[in-house]
Amino acid sequence: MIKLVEASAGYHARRRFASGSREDENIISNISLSFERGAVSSIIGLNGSGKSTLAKLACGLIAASSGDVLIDGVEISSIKRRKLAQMVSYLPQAQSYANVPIEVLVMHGRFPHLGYPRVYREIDRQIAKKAMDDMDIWELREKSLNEVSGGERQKAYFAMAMAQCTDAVFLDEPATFLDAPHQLDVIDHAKRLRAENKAVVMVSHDLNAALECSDMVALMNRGRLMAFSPPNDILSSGLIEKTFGVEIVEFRNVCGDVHYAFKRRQLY
Amino acid sequence: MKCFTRFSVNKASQAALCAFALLLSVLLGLSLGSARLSLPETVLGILEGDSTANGRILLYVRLPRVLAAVFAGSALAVSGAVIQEVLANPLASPGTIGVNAGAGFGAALCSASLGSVAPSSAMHSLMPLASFSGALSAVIIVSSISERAGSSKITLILSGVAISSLLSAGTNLITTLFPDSLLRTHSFQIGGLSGVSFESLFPAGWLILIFILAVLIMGGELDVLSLGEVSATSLGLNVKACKFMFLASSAMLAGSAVSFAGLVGFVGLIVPHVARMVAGTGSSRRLIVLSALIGGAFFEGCDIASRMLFSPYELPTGIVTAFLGAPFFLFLLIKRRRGYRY
Repeated sequence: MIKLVEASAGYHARRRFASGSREDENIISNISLSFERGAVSSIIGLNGSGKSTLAKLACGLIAASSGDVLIDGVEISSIKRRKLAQMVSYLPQAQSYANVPIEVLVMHGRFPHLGYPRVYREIDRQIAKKAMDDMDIWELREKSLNEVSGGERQKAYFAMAMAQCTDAVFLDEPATFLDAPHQLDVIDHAKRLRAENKAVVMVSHDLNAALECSDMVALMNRGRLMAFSPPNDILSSGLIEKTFGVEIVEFRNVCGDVHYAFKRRQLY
Repeated sequence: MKCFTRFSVNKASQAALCAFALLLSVLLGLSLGSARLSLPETVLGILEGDSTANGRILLYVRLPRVLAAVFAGSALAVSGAVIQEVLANPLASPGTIGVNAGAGFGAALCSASLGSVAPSSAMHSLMPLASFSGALSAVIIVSSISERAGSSKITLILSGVAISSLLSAGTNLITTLFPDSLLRTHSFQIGGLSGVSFESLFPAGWLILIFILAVLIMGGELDVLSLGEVSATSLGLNVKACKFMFLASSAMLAGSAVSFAGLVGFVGLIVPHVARMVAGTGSSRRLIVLSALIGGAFFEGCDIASRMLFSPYELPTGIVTAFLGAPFFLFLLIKRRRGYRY
């Protein structure tokens, strides 16, 4: 659905007078991959490796300084912002949150679907209610964002992205601030979105979650895409050990589910 | 869906209460003064027109002044509410980010350069435009400086203080060098409504009505913009264009008010806070309506006080707004620090 072809980007990737070069200011360079419908893709990598930049580039929040970003074959920069917001939603990382009630925030997820004079309809209210029910925050709907915990705030933003009803959903570290049961909920939500034939892209620090629930994993290192493969291929390639400098220990629980533990590589 | 409509009665009664306060202040403004009139006398006087003494006082002195107070108060309050929402900064207002000073500079420049050559009817139309140009230039300079310097809330206020001082110095320079300028009067510098006529009020009054309506229509965009740049962009908003449109509208509102009411302080800072306390957060349209109603009532109340406190002498209204506004703002700051939320 979303295809990147040798795309590069950065936040100040514009030519500085005559002498500067765009290459110097790119945070990510020459990325080629595609995020498909009905699949969960995870972007993993060390801090500062360009994971969020890749997500923002793929959903059109920042422009490519070179290369192409295509949605269903159409160049993303040629799609109007409102139309794009009907196709792609983005849950930002560590939002600077506004002081609004949760129900109002979630309703704003319907904004791209409204015509003038931007008045919410009954259908918008029903979709927002379902998103709040799904995220288990219906009881908190009247509370303001500064009256709830970080995790509840994160769920409210997640519900806003759900209410946007897009074919592609980008989740930039969706499990941040969430306790263990709610982290598992996020994985369940991602799987549910996959079952609805949406393209789900998660930027994640949680390697276990990324390896367990993803169909494809993009491994980033210093702005370069090291691999974009199914989790098993990534694990067997040894690239995770090399990139993160850890050893991976695989174990199974009584149900036979595979989990991974990571320990620092011994330097002797 | 019950949950979403539960507060509608409350919302309607809040707006009705504020509208009643505005109506009350207008009636008081019309009946109080050196010649006190009862309510029936006031209504009768307006209906009789300029055939009676009371009618002439009401039509040529009090009505323009009351309307000017309502228009200026509403315009400054809505301008402040929009600026605070767009910049996500509760300390921002036309006074603190240099919009008022820019409007004053524009008005002073226009008055000094064209005051002696242009007819007064042309000046009444030119002054709001000159104020708007000054206000818009100030808001563009201040927001681009603060963006360049790190975009923090404090940087914005500090750069507003610096630009305000610079523009005020420019206004003072003009009024010193051109002592015959229309704006030499003390009341322009502090803000006041003495001598307002229908002719000086109406070009600006129409602009105020049009821009309050425009901001109301775009309330949905303002709601989304207040979520922050990343969220607003991902919800399909062209953030830069919207920000510019809202800041230009608030500059137009403040500029129009300054063109006939002078450099009034604090209305645009405190009224949106009061409106937010009444209305809660979450709907920019509700905030704008309540700001307009409360702003009009507040400024009219201040104008009545400025006329009545030391009657028959009259204070510039800006002194009363500052005496009431500054302590109230400090009260808000202290309450906020103790965890008070609105």
